[in-house]
Amino acid sequence: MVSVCFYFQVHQPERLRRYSVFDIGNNSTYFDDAKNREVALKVAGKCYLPMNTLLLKLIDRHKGKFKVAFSISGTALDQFERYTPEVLESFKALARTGCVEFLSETYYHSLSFIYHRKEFDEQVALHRKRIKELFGQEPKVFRNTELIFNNELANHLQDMGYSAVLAEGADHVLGWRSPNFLYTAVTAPNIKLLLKNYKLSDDIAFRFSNKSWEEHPLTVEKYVRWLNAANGNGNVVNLFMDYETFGEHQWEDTGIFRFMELLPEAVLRHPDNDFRTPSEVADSYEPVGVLDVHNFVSWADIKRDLSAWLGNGMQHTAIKELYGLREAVYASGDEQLIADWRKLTTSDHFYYMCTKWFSDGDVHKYFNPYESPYEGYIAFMNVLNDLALRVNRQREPRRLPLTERPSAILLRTDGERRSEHQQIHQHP
Amino acid sequence: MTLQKGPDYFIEAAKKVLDIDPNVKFVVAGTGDMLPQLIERAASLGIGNKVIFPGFVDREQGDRLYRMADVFVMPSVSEPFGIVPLEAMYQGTPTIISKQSGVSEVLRHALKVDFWDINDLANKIIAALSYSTLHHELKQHGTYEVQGFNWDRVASEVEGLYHELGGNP
Repeated sequence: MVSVCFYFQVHQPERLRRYSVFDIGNNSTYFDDAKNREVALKVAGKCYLPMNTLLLKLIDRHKGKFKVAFSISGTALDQFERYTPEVLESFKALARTGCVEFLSETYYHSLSFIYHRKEFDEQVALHRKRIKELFGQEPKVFRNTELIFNNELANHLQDMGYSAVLAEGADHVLGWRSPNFLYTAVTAPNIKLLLKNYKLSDDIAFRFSNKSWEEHPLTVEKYVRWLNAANGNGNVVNLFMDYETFGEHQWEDTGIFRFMELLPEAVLRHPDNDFRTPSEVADSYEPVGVLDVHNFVSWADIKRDLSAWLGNGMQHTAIKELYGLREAVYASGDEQLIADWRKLTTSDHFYYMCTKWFSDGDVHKYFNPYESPYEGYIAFMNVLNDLALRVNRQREPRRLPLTERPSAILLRTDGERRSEHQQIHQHP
Repeated sequence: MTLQKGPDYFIEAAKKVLDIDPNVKFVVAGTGDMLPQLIERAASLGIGNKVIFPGFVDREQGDRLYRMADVFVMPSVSEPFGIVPLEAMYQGTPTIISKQSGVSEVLRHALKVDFWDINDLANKIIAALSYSTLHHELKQHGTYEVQGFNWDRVASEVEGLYHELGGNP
């Protein structure tokens, strides 16, 4: 028996505008509404709407035998609601078919698990609430931002009551083992790991239209032959990819929609095959082994690690300072301030600061609204300075000098804060 | 110090930087027909004591200035290539260049601005001075990047092109 398990990631960050040093203290509008709206409308037209229509058609055509799962970030849901409500409606229509599972993630698509466990729990709870409200589902399966995973996460999710978690089937994690079985983590025997079959996933997500790929053009027949090869040698083929693959990364004229339209029928032609959602997979199969994932693994780049978000000093400083401001921001009780801070936790802001130009630079550049990682860092740090100023205004009405350590000023007692302030003045 | 080097934009940006951080000093090195006008403009903006005009500097003095500076700016309105930012980066100084310079197309680890956008120029000068991590990354990557630029490499690339086009391997 081979189950095919599709999971699509839907995410849009709230991009920052080019926030300048002259905006600090004068303008606390951080997010580029025009740009965010433009992207949402563009991707809705090219991907979300046509692909949701196609999936609805396929679910209807195959009478419950074709199933998929989505993980939709809260920042994406918020933007659909604001800019393209018809996208939200079409996801609700998919939810009503009973053939679509919605997964759990952090509301802000953040790296909070790595930096602040309490913040992580809160963002997960916010997301669960939103999914329940919109789609009437209580997620049982978790997927962390960019499939970031390790033993500790498995343990934490087990405590939270999840039945399964998605992760990257990275070579250095699996070794000789196959991603087409379920596993458990050494720290968490009761939670099942669904591992991405990165080869078969990336054949669609990355290589589909690559003319220099030896398998190009990828036909449905050829692809199903590869899927069938797992029969007798695995329980499930996990095809995890960005939803924007369809129509946005792979344009319509590459034939990607046609490919997806014909795929379910070709998969189901083999009597041993079916489609299952992640929680159905977890309910259907038993783990065959235990994995020990001490270091974080992700689905990004060639290295499958955290270096896309935390690979250089700017990324580390920015995220450390952001989380350093958290307690003061929450203590302010200012809802707008808290909302702004949370939107800054989205992993994309740190991704934009990545300087790994040479191996993965092209992919990074494609997604980057800034001309360089330095621009991304400057805008982000300027925003943090304004954020610190807003927190501080509630304590003392005084302007602070620009600093790369806004959190240090806020978290001290009043006396210490003053002396730090003077120090910065003396050594700018 | 001529129109196409954009020194007047630099002076305007300096005023904006000083509005935020009065401890910054600016050095405008070189000579040219705009020099008197620039000195007057700095004075009329009230920043005459913050902008230093050393006049002509030779190579050795130039290198010393690069090393003393926390950030180097080339705000050229028009510059077919622009070799000075490479000299500054070679000395380990974070560099800001105008997008209108030819060198802007080949450098990755420099900050870039439109020459007319004095707010953005001031923003980036302040960022490079205030954010030490940014300063460090620009310095480290920039020094490394600029070591890849040398006449031997260019010469061998040109030679290779001649061979290729001439059909002579």
